[in-house]
Amino acid sequence: MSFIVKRLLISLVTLILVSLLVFAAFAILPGDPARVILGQDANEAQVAALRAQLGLDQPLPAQYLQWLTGFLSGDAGTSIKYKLPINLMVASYIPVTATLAAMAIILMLLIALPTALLAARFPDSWIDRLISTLATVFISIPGFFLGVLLIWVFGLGLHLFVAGKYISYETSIAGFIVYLFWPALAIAVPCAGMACKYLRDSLMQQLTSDYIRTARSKGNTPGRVLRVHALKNAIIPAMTILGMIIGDIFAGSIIIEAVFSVPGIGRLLVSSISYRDFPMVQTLVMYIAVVIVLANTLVDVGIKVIDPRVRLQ
Amino acid sequence: MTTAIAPILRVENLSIGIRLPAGEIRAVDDVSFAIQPGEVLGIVGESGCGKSLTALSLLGLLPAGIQILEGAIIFNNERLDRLPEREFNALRGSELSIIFQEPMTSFNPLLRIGNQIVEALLLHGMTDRRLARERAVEAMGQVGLPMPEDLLRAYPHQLSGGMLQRVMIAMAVICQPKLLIADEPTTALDVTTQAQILRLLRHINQTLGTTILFISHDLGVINQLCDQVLVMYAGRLVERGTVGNVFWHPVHEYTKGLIGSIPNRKSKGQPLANIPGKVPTLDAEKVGCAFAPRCPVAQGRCFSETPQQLALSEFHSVDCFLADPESEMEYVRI
Repeated sequence: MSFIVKRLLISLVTLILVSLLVFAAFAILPGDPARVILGQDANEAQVAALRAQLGLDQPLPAQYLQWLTGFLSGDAGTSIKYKLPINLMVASYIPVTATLAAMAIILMLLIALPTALLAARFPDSWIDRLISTLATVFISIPGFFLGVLLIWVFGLGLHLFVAGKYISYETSIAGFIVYLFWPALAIAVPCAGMACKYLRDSLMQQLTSDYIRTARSKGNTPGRVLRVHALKNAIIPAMTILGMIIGDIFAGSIIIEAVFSVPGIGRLLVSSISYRDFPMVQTLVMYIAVVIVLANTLVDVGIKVIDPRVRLQ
Repeated sequence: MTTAIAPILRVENLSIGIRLPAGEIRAVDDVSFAIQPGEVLGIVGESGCGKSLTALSLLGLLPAGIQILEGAIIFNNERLDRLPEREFNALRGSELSIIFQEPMTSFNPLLRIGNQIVEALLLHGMTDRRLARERAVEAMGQVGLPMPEDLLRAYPHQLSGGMLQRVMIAMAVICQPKLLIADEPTTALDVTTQAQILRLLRHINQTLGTTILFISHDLGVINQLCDQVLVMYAGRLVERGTVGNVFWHPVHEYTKGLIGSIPNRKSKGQPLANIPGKVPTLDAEKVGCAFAPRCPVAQGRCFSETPQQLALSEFHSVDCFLADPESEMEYVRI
């Protein structure tokens, strides 16, 4: 229990640091948001009025506290671009990105688990080398390029989907899922390459353990030893990397949403940055940071739950 | 059945090692022995002399890259060394089982003890999990584990080394194997626990009639448990016989050295005897008797010719030029 409390405290400190960084990034960014919003033709009085309205005339610590309390109390302010409450907007965009990320994680596991098991089952065979080579290739390909490639081959070439024709989850859940499959795949494949390599090496490490020999001596087939005995043990060290991969998946979704024109958090973020909609950007970056920190915390706690040696302490 | 009991396991001219383009490296060289049903056979020798590889080869679990180079392993009239993997797997854990040296690392740390014990049963045809659990409780009772019901739910790290070794024995005998291989099962344990485990193996041998192949570097332990003993040095058998013969009337200088190294009351206060030198490395050139460089009485031919097996009596033989075939008295087999 004390571990979980300690881990949560660390996460909290991380988030405070992230919030400071996010705030600082916008404070030191050259250019005045009020000036950008009003354009070059606005006079000084108009700019000063907007600065006061946005709270930009106050000292930085006060601005930070005001923003932070707003974020925590669920009122992140109003979007400069859309003139709508930020929380309302985020709430309508989040289901899309959350589904996309969840699908990417599932696809990643569906690709990485069987390939890692297959590679570890026949180490140094042609299949192991093939999987390893493919994994390296997919790790090296940038996600957005893979996205473009998918659109070109499967969308424009094979007509398996219509690129850019978004189907809202409010219209059709099935259509929504099918639409998100391709962007999710583009996010999942590079991550799967990394996860597969880590899991394969972790499995190979486990296969040299004494308990594997015991399992074999009981009449387990090599395949069953791998699935039943080695996999669970191999996942513990591989889970740490999973936490980082989840971060990658969210980072990847920002770019991939733009490539596939998915109306999610990522696209909202990109358009808000170009419009200097700084309250919106700050909130979105904070949301993403919270998700990633939370994912890593969950992974760390998950490791303790899987491993009885640590669980009972 | 013929009048002479057929051995349950026969190993003939077994050589184990690595096959390289440049030639073979032999870790076990031309080893032959047989075990009668119900017998306890010991293999003794220093670390690195090929005992464990011999044991693993009997289960078809040699480490990757190491293989049987020559010879035959016949278990229950079946050639194990030629058995297809699928059929071999059916024997492992049911007819043949093994207890390993390190109880602390030989269990899957993430699975409950109970699941690890019943696994062998479930792998070999038992489908009723409840029945398997009952059998596990029964087997744990047989090996003297208290509160088996609680232990079934425990994880390996919650048990002591001695308890884990008992669990390992329960796990190994749960399918009532014909042959139980014990590869240094007491080496990692303290002396008191060691004695309990030896008693337990003796008990299993006597009550269940399980044939045991017991591997140890400690001739004293072998003496307590075994009927027959094989002395192994640098991958070869150098002396074989009943425990009475070998232990009380050793002929090979290596066996004498091993017996001399056992501490006893008479040698109290004196430095512990040892065999000078160490086991030759596997790639060392093999000419003559492998033990000659360490042998206190080695002569010229010991360094140039390899000694052959010399029968001293029906139950005792040695590979040594210096042994006198007439010296052996008739010992009554114990």
